[in-house]
Amino acid sequence: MTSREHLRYLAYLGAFLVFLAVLPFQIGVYYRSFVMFTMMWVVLALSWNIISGYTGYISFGHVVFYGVGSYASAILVADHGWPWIPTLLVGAVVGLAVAILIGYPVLRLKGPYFAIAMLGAAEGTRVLVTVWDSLTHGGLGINLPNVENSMETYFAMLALMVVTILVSYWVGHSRFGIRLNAIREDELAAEALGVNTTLYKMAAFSLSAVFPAIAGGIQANKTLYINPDGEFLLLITITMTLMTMFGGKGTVIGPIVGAILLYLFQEVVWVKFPFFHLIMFGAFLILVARFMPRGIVGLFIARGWARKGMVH
Amino acid sequence: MKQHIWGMLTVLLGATLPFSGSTVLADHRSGNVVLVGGAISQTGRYAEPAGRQYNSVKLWVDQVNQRGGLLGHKVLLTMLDDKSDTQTAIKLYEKLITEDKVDLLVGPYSSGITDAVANVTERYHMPIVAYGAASADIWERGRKYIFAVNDIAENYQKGAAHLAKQIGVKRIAIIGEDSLFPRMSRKGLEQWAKQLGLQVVVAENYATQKQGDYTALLQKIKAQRVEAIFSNSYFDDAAAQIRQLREMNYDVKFFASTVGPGLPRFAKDLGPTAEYVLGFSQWEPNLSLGHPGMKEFIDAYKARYGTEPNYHSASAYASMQVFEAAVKQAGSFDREKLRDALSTIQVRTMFGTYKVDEKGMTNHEGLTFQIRNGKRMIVWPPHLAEVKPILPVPKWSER
Repeated sequence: MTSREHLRYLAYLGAFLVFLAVLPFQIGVYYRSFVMFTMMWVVLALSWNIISGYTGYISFGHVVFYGVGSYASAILVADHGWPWIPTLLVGAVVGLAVAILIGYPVLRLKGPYFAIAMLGAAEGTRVLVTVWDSLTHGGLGINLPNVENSMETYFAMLALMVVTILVSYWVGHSRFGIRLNAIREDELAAEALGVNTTLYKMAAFSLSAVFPAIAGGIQANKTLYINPDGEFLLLITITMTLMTMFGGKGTVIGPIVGAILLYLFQEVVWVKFPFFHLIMFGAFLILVARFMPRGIVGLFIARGWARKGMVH
Repeated sequence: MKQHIWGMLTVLLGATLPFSGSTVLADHRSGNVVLVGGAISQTGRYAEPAGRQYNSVKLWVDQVNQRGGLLGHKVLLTMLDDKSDTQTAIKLYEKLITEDKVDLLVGPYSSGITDAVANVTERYHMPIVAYGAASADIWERGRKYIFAVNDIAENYQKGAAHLAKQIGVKRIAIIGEDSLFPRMSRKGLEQWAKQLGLQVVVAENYATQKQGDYTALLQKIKAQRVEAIFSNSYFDDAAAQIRQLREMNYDVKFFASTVGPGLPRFAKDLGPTAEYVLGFSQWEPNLSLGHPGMKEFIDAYKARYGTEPNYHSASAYASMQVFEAAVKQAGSFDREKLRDALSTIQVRTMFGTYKVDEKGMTNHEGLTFQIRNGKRMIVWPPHLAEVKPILPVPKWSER
């Protein structure tokens, strides 16, 4: 890809950014929260994509990073009186530490074994957080001081999203990304060609853990009440997986498109059908898997509506 | 290139304009209506009790409209689904208050979700009657706009503890889900146990959404020669535990649960296994309680939904009666005036007498019942007891 093209995408991102920076002043609290949560899902989907889309290691426990990030932040704010923004950095460090702790043994597993190990890691962490009462208040959850901070959390999430997009874009266009793709296509061959697969997998995994940890922290400060069930919910992992698959995994634009469309759809359409939305969700899933295995972006490329350059 | 970007920006900015909401003043809605709104768990794990509360709110809305509405306004109801999820509930309450601009806000279900939502309602000075919550914690945070109708979680096992003392139980086990409400119930019970001289030999919380296997826990309890089990549980866990007690053929003097047995489903689904289980109730559809309007409520609920109301239905209906009285007293939908009315009035509802203290809590007293022939029969407090409890319960082998 030429540098001209890079510049063009950067310009698109810039325009998008200006729009999102002006937007919160035009809308009320609810829509501001709504856009904030949409951006959160973009971050989560993009992060999941870094490990699972690029290297093909499907993580069924990605919520664990989101959960520890939100707990790190909530504990520091509620029990130690920290201002909330610096706690996000602590959350990022905790997320990274957990990624290394889990990734070191677990990334040696391949295929479904990795997926199952991640599922176990997330559930195990949930139980640990529930039982570790003295630190986390267990099942009682943590109540944060009551403040109206929809503007602050909005901009924090916006900044995080921009960084996540830039990093994803870099991953998609760098030698680093090519090596990750090589691991996905044939790990043995990649290794034979001299790619230090363990190192690259660890790097991708760590990268994909940091952003959800920060997102979890921002979310905790917006929601103001967290408990283990809510923060380590399996559904969160499933949702970020679905959003990425729906948009097109292994691409930069795919998870963004998938997250925005699915979240919008959920909020606007599904709330109108409280009893049917679960059935609709299931049906939708089957249809996507059957007719768009490569997601929207994949479909666009297959039909020739988009150039392949957008993919990476 | 440059023009390209500016063109795009203009379009994008233009697109934001429809979002900027116009301010609608409460009770100045077109068509002379007032909007009553809330979000409750229509799906997810709280759907069963929450659905009963929603039924009651719908019933009240129709009835109040037949009576000529609130202060002459027709009542319109909007009830959203929080999917039993805290984050969704918070977002929906922000929407109800800031976008839909509801005139009266009704509560969600469960103590955990109410505690979280109360942060939002408090910020907007929006008064709320918490028919779905019972944990005292919610009122210990100095909140000014939330009012209670229920007896607190700490008292859910009070009756069963007294009955244990009466029949000479010494060694008890306290188990329960590890979440806000069961933990509060446990906290209260531990105090009652101390006061009544019951010895707590096993006290354990289990993680939520567990796959329904409690045999290891029950084995541990059995090994400790526990005489009575106090389970701070909802429907699924309580049902699994009593079934497994029977499978193990482990005879205790009684099994007491908090929320599960109070749901009509419990006795129906479990049949003979549910017999003699002790449960807690805020209210029973039993006219001997003597609250005004009980019969009318029970008949109307039964006619409309084909099933008897339970205490969840009743507390929600009572909250609406309280709101109706408060609106009348305040003479407007002004939030501050409504708050003042709610904190001072005394209302006789079909659920009991509503009157709150300076924290916003009531002194509503709950009941303990025993399931007998598939029916919930009040056994405590003594002055309201319908029957004498059969305790210790018959051995599994003799049933």
